[in-house]
Amino acid sequence: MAEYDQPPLSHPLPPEPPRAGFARGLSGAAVLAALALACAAAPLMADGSAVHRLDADPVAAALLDGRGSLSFALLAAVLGGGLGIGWALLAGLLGTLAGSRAERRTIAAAHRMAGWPLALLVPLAGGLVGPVWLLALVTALTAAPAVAALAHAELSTLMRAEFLTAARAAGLPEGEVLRRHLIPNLTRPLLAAGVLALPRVLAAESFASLLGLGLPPALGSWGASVGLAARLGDPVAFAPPALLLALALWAACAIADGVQAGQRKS
Amino acid sequence: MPRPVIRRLIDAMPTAVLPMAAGVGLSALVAPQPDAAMALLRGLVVTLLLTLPSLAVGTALGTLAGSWAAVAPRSAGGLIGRLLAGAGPLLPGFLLAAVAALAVRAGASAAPLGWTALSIPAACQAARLARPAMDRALGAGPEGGAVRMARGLGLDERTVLRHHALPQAVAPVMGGLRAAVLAAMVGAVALESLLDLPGAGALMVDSARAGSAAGAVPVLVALGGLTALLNALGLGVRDWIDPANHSSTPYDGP
Repeated sequence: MAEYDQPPLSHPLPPEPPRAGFARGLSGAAVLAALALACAAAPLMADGSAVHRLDADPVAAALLDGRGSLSFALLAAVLGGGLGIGWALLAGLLGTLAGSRAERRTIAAAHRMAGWPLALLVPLAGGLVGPVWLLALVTALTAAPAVAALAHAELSTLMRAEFLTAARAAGLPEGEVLRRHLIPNLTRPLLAAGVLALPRVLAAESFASLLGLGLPPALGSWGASVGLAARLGDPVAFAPPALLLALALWAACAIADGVQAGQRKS
Repeated sequence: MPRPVIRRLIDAMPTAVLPMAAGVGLSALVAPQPDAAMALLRGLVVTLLLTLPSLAVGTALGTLAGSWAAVAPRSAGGLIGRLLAGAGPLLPGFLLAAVAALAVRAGASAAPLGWTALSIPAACQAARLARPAMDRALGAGPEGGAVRMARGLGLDERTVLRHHALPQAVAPVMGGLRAAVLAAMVGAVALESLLDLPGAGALMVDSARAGSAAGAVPVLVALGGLTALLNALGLGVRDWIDPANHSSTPYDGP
């Protein structure tokens, strides 16, 4: 009777979907972690004592510059992701309190701003304002509208989910719906939207530093080294920071793509 | 000019032309230099001449390469398409502008290198969007209906690809042109500044370096308007090409 236990041939089991997004995200995270470790260990590369960027050879100097670029990008990405998610939550709150028109207007502003060349604000801020924290805030603002648009789309999808309607129909109070259903299901999509800020802020800071209007020289930046080498016409000094910057941008984009692909699949 | 493009340009008047006019007016009123408004106008023309041809050529070549990557992935054109689609994040416009500046310092000619540097990010973006769209157009899903119908009617493969599959691959590329426009604008600003070209981006960077908000902010506003104009052009071309917008037009042969 064993042959009757087999599934019918006309209905084969669906094949396992490929996990390309996950693999890409994982490889991006591995590359970024390796870059961060190499940059952190850079002072040990030149005889264990040379920590001054100008004294080091081009590869060690590029790794030293990476500390400034990566730490600033991490700070600005956290700020930008937080601002974008806050913007999306504010739009959702306005939709609940003041109607869908207010929500649409709030998020339409984010969509319109995402179409403007906001990255140009960073060199402008670098030239006109001094402190690094203010530059980090402006850099974060350049990424916030795109994060807000994506986070709001995820939020809208979740608010239309059938299990929320079922929970409300079962008489669950709003506080319980929020605690048991909304917050656990909202955390992952919002984090996925927030990750989108990382490649944007890294690119914006590198662009501003390339023009000489980004991070101060004492902090070091891949963009600043690339810009200086391009102006001087020095390919030996140009190649290491340019390659490391391209690799870091690829890794940040891969992480963002991977997290979003995983989110769409779930 | 096709009617959908004109319609999109008219719709974009408030967001494109008004910021440019406001930028020029502001620089005439508040900028420290006496001829700042004229310099900004000339700069906008230079920036437009840098970005528009690069975007057009890059998008066209990237779309063809990306589409070919879906049709014949192992051919030379298909490999180029796959390479462009995968290399997008590695090649931001400002980094390519720095490479171009380095080559110019070594004695290369500025204009072709500048246009090439600005067209590569657009080509990468176009290839990334065109390849899956072409896959869908040639696939067994609902979006492949037009191609299946054309093949069923006995049209030769070249005509099917050119008139039925390619427009379906081009439409999402033109819809997603916004990211390519932003990359081209940032790359143009870097290129103008590194090569000392008299563009609007170089004006903004020089004013920012001098700490002059009155000189830099009007240029930024005008560059925002120029970006909106390029976006509107892209959307107009999408409306013109998209098969969904003229599905009632009878097929009149190759």
